[in-house]
Amino acid sequence: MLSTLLFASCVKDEALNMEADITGIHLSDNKLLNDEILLLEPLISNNAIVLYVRPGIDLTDLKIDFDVTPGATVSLITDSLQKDPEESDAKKAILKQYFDKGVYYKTTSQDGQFSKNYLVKMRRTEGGLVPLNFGFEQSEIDKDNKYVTFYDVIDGVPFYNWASGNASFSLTLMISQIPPTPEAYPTKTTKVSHSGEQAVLLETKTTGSFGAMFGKPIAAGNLFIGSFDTGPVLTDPLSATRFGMPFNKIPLSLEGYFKYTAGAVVTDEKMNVLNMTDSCDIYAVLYNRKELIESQKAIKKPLDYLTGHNILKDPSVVAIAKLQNGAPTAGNDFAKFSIPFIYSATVDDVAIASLDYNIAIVMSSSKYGDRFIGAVGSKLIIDDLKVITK
Amino acid sequence: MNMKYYIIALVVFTFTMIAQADEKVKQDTVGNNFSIDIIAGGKIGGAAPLSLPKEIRKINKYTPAVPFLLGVRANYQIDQKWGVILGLTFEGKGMNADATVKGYKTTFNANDDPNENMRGYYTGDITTKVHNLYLSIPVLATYKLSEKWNVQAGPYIAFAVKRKFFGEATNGYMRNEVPTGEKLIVDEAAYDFSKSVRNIDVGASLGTSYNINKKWFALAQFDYGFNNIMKTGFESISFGMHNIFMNVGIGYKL
Repeated sequence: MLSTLLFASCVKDEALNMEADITGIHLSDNKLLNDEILLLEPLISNNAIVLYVRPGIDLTDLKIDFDVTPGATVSLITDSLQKDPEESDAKKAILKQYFDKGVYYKTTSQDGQFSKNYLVKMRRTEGGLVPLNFGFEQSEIDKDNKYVTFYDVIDGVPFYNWASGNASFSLTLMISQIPPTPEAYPTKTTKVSHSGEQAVLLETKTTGSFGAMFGKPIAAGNLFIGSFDTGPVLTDPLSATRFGMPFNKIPLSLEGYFKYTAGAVVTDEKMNVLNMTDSCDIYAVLYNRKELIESQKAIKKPLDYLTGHNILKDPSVVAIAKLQNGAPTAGNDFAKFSIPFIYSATVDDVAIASLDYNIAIVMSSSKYGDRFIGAVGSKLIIDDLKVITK
Repeated sequence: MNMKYYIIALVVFTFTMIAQADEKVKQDTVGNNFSIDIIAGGKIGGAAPLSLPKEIRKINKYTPAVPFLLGVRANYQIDQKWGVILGLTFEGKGMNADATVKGYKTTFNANDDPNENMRGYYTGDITTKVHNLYLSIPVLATYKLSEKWNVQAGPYIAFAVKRKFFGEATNGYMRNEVPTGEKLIVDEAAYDFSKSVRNIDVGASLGTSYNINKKWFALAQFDYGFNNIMKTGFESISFGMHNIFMNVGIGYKL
């Protein structure tokens, strides 16, 4: 007790902050505020921000303000702005760049010692964020961590609708001192395709002894419509997967081609061997995003997405299409699947047309991978995915 | 392994000394110049930075751990006032501390596997459990202030016989590698730096004793370790920690 007091008297003045995060972003023009301009909450990760703008909003007088770590500063990196020969108005040129390659901002910590760059992009579409056909031909490799990210091209612009756990697996590679290569990750491309140049390959991987210590000894390869938040991967991984993006059509079925081989030994979160064969998981969920947000009225910051906790059981879910049999496929050929959406509620035609609903498509190389049950080496190849709509 | 033999040798040496002293006392050849004491006591202190670094924002809880000492001391009285003590003490130097930290540079490791760890800057609550056991050899000069009071001072060398330095981070977050790195929420991340605790601790003691009667005396002694208790090259904590302890005990003259 005495010594606690003694120590307490010695606590020094707080050092200046070393962190330099953008913690919030506020858009405004002369009339409208954030919620009226944006379709979704801003997607802020450690080095990037994506803003999904509502269709039909005039952004001429747009102002952007950032919330940052106390004491940190943020500034536009003017060097990142491209000269646009077709656009003489500088403001319009910047706006155009937001909707194309994006604009860089630099944050600097309060103590001036640390800084980082954020790439801020805006996306807008009249037709929803999720297309109906996915050949998985468009992918890119992360500059630093070398993992694959899939994207869709809508109206000639890349939309990063597909997310995976690759971003957090880069930590596993770093900790295990494995050089990062696209193949080292659970979610990647393969030349074994049903059509086109490439397909998605999802592979269940070990996370090494560090992952095991946290009761997360494996990482199933996953790919889903939505975004991934690395923050809670050690504490609450089910909330790391943020499922769903706005969709404006009534889905009837999910079709595609897959090939699945199960790894030899299924283990649980404690690495106990389970007497079962691994299986894969493919499903799609349509949910009412507006209803989901309204159901959280009591919460200060309602979530506009479903997570691993509630994707299949939230009251906002209106339809689910789920592969019944994720067992290994026979032979070496692709197997076709066509799964109907089973509706548990009626869809409001007007609301879905105005993008109040989200669709999530989820694929995993180990069905119970979210609970860290699966076989290292299980491989799921998926190609030519299609959402059939009314 | 070498340590073990060293300690055994020390113990044998001390017991031989005690036995010899005993004989000598019986023979009454050395007279009152030479005596043996045994001491026992408790202590409060810890492995602490010299001054609290800025990263530590609050000490939430502190309790002593393994707070004991048991020792034998050979006294040689040079003249009326001055004497010298050679001792052998088996003691615990430990603490359980619970602090709130901000931007604390650390490493979380996988089951003591030094190759698999996560480095970065941690903000949140962190417990530090130090349960080190040492065999210490103090060499003290003594000065008799009065019939009742003595003061002692001198260096010690301590050999760690059991090293334990571990803890966990709760209710916080880690920034991977740098303060602007990926932010990971941390609920329960364990760390264990036991293997990085130095085998030897060198320091100095300053103490006083009070003779209660012919046989018994009370003892108060401050020990300060000169070296960082962690090995050179240990970077998982950005500041050095020293063994700093206040000992209180009683002694018995054989």
